[in-house]
Amino acid sequence: MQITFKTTGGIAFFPGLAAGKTIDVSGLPRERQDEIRRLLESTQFFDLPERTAVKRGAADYQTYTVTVSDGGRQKTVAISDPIPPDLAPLLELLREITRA
Amino acid sequence: MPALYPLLVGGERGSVCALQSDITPPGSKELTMCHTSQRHSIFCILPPHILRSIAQRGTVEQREMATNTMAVDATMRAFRATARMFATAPSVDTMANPGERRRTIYTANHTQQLPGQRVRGEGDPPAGDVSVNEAYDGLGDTWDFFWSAYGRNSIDDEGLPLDATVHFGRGYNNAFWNSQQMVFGDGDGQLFNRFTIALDVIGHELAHGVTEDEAQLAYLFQPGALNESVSDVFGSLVKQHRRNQTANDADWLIGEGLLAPGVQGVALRSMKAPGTAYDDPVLGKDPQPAHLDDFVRTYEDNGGVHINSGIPNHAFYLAATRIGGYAWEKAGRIWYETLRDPRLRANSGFKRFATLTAANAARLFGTGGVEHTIVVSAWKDVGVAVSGAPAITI
Repeated sequence: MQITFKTTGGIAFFPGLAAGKTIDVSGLPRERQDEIRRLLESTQFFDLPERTAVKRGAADYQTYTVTVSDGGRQKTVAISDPIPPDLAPLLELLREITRA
Repeated sequence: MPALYPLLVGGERGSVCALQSDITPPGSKELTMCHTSQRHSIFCILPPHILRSIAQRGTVEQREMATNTMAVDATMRAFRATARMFATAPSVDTMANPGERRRTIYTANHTQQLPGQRVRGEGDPPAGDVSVNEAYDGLGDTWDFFWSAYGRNSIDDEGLPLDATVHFGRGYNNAFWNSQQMVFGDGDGQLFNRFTIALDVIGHELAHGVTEDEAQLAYLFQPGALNESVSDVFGSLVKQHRRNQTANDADWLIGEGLLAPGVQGVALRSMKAPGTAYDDPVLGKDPQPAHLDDFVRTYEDNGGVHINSGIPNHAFYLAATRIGGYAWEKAGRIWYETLRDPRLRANSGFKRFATLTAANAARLFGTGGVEHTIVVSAWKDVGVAVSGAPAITI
């Protein structure tokens, strides 16, 4: 399983941060792998809408683009601030892994 | 029977008075005339479709006068359409009964729940939390700026309470406007410090609310870059106003102090020299252009709204420093009036915005005057040609 995590938008555009990072899930410690699989399941990631709604007039919000490729399946979801509570743990984990 | 149309008569120096006259109703092939002592009888406000017809098919003289009339007409229609345009300078009455600041600061306690827990309201003593106090003071400075510079009472000019949430998320590297309130992250400490640290960033977020109230510039491509630029302009002016700095004394940096120690850069953006604010191994290099020739075509960042804003940002910097003095008094006022101009549309691009700043400079400070000339040259120097002011259709 591969996950690409990319953050764009926000108060400024930083080319270095916009590139995105790819996580090879099988290369992670066992407990991290389990955590990711559990969160993808609990959020029903492959059934999520392709993007979350942004309120008219909002500005400087960040958008997090997550692409998960698993076996024959691939799904990309764009989630904008403020992050829906049910998706927050997944994004928090991806941010933590890609920051390291 | 000829219908009665409201009639505005232009004087030699552009003075106007309202009359009523019977003029030929729409559809008549006969050229319409006004019964006034005006030297040019055609120089009155006719229905725009008739003027357009004259402008297209009349004699040379008729065409010229019809065109002039349409220009005056556009201005007057704008005035009528937005009576608030007259209310820009604070009058004695409004100053005697000032608006009130109504600030409330919340903390999200490192969650993403908005607005979170209320920690400081208007008039409350300082809290034992630097982010809370910076947000409170920054909202106050921003409110003070719009009130004292433009007589504007808060985001909606009707005293809207100002709400902000601090400690949003965990190590959250951003500040944003969610269409109702300001939201500030603490930063991760490695790339960014807390986002309340920079007054111009607080002004920037609040100005997004002002833009949404006045112009609803779409947050995409050129209108989005204008939306961003307007926030940088007024964010910077809030800071200059607080520091009592003239245009030539100001640093024109946006977000100074936000980059964490060790990051190679001074700020998020530079209006004076777009593209030079940072050059860091992790953040990359500041991608802002200063000239239309270097416009960045991208689908990222809502079509480059934080990238191409460098172009109108630099035009404002050039105009403000060439005019001199306090930037909010002339250049800022021209930009503010442009934001309130009904000819500015949600989908307006650089060219229309530039044209309207020139039109407002001429209206406020005189056609062909120093300010008007400087505004036109400032846009020219960033590659945006100013054209004739667009007419208003109501």
